[in-house]
Amino acid sequence: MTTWGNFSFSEDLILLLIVVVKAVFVMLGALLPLAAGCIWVERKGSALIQDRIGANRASFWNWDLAGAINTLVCDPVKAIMKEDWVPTGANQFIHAMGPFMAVFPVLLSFAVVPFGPPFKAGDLTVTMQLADLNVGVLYVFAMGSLAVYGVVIAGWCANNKFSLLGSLRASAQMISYEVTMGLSIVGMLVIYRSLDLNKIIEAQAGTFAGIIPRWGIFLYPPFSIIAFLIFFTSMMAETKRAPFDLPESESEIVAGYLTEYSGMKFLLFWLGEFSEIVVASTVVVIMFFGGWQLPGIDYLYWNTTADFKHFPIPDLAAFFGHFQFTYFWWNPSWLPYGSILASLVLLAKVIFFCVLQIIIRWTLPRFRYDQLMSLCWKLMLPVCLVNLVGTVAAYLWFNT
Amino acid sequence: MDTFTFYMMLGAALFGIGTLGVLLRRDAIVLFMCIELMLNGANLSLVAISREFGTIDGQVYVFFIMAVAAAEAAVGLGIILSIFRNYYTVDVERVAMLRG
Amino acid sequence: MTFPMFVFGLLTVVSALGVVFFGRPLYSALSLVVTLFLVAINFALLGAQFLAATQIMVYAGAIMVLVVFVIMLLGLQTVTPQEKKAGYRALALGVAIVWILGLSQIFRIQGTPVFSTADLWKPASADTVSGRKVFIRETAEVSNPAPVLPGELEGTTENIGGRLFTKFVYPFEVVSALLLAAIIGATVVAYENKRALPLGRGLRAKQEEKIGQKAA
Repeated sequence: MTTWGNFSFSEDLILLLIVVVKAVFVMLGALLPLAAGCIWVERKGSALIQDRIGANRASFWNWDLAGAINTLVCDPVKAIMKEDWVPTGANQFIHAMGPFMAVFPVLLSFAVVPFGPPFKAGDLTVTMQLADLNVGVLYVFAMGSLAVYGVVIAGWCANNKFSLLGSLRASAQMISYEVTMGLSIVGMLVIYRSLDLNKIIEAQAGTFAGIIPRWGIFLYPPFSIIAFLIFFTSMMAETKRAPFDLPESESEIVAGYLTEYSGMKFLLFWLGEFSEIVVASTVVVIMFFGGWQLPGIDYLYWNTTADFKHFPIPDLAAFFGHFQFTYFWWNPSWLPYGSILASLVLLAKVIFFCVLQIIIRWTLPRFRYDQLMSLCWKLMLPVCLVNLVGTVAAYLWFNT
Repeated sequence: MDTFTFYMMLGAALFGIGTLGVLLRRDAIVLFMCIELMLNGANLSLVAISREFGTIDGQVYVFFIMAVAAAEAAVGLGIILSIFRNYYTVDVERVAMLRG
Repeated sequence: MTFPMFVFGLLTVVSALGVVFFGRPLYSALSLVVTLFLVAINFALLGAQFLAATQIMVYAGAIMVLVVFVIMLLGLQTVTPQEKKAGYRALALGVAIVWILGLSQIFRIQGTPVFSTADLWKPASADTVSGRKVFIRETAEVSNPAPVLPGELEGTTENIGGRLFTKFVYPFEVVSALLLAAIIGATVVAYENKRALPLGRGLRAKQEEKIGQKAA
């Protein structure tokens, strides 16, 4: 064990390395494939919705894969090969920081998403989450509020009036809809009595009368449905998506704050936007649709008894977890089938909401800017406040 | 050096660097940012103290300081905007009409 | 003090120096965003998780966005003036150094000064706390033997919320009134009076001249 004064390097570094490996696994295994899949669904799905064929020129020995090769192979290669230029008069460093600041908070906010119930491995309890924070929901909103910087900086540094206009509008829209986004969730947090995402999902277990699952949207029906609608709309407005995409619309202000970006920087912005779609869908699923809960499936039953230490791949327990835990009364697992099934259920629900957002984008026409802002401040904020009062009143009525 | 001492020194360092900034810079916006730095130094010290004395009141004080800092930011930046509209500069040496 | 604490503390000081010493106000603002993010990380290392998330959301995500907006609207791109009078810089640096050292020397551990090189050469001690390994592991400390906060004193939402609504409910209500007053005040102060003359370039030059004459 090497020491340097009072520090001991090897233990801390190994634990840090484990967390880094876990982070890479979550990002490369869950978030980025889903984002890439969303990009593909957007291009081909929009073609289907608009009754055209879409991208079909790139094929792999006549094997088209419904435009996937075009979107997922040709586009990135083309973008990487493009010349990376910065407009004259623009600040080079800030121009390069724009995509970074747009993407980095989105990737970070995926760290608290729980993919399944915790399972026991030997004497460790492994949470299927990168970071088991007590303030999970607050962390997601904090990362959402950091996403404004990418837009502001990108539009301003490009020395271009279209960009400046686009970024001003985009940032004003984003900070307005952050308010309703947070406020609509507060009612649900009162019902769940916790900010921890694991506990929120666990509070949505079971069913009403054996048929209707006890998901967030079915608890205190009118108020939670309104909360879901407001939250979903605010999330789509926050990510500058769907009918709220005035800041980056092609027919209005060239490409808004994205005007001076081409090649890989533009693709990074796009990756950030589609990752935001995935994160938004995930948060909606966790708060309102039960996360990985499915009525009638008891995941703990599927985490059968066997000794995880005899699993052939060495140190898989160390691969998944850190070393501070509470101890549950479950049996140690061989392969945690229950948790794996739960993560597949979560992914299926997330994919459903991503596809829903894409369909909404290609169905509805765009809002005008004043309509957008008055929708937020004059309609959604009062409805949010009334809904919050109603939710808390209903909760107290039925629980005292 | 234990945790408490380290974080008290870090809070003092942030505060001192903020003071340095306030004394050195003439740009009103950078002055404002250095004042925020001083506030954050104080916040860090408060959290360290509340942990050392086994209480959570220090963290609640920090919460209130954050709220007040947000209010101060809004009003202060509004004032800076008004000054800019009248003087076309934010250099605090030039905004000196009250100087005798 | 563990290795992560030391690294994040050092980074905080470096980015704070960046706030003060960068020429362009936008670079200062971005350095301050990084500093506030690192201060939030320091809060999390101290066990104040709710405050860490709130710090990112309020300070780095709202206040600094406002500052960057103002820098954007005023178009402050050029290098802004710094104090160049003789002696001021040395005086400022001296004041800051004396301040930091003074505040640090207040905290003495049982009569010995803080900067004792004897501490640096102690071997690392046990890394288990009551039989289980902890991730943020701290070596045995001289004056504070409990490295992890007891359960009810962690900075979780429940604890802070409980304290906020029982012992601190009156300041809480007063702060909400204060925020309302600040919103109204900021709107009034920043409101552009449309009846005032729109100043074009000629009038701006005259304004500059007027200020220059008064300062001279």
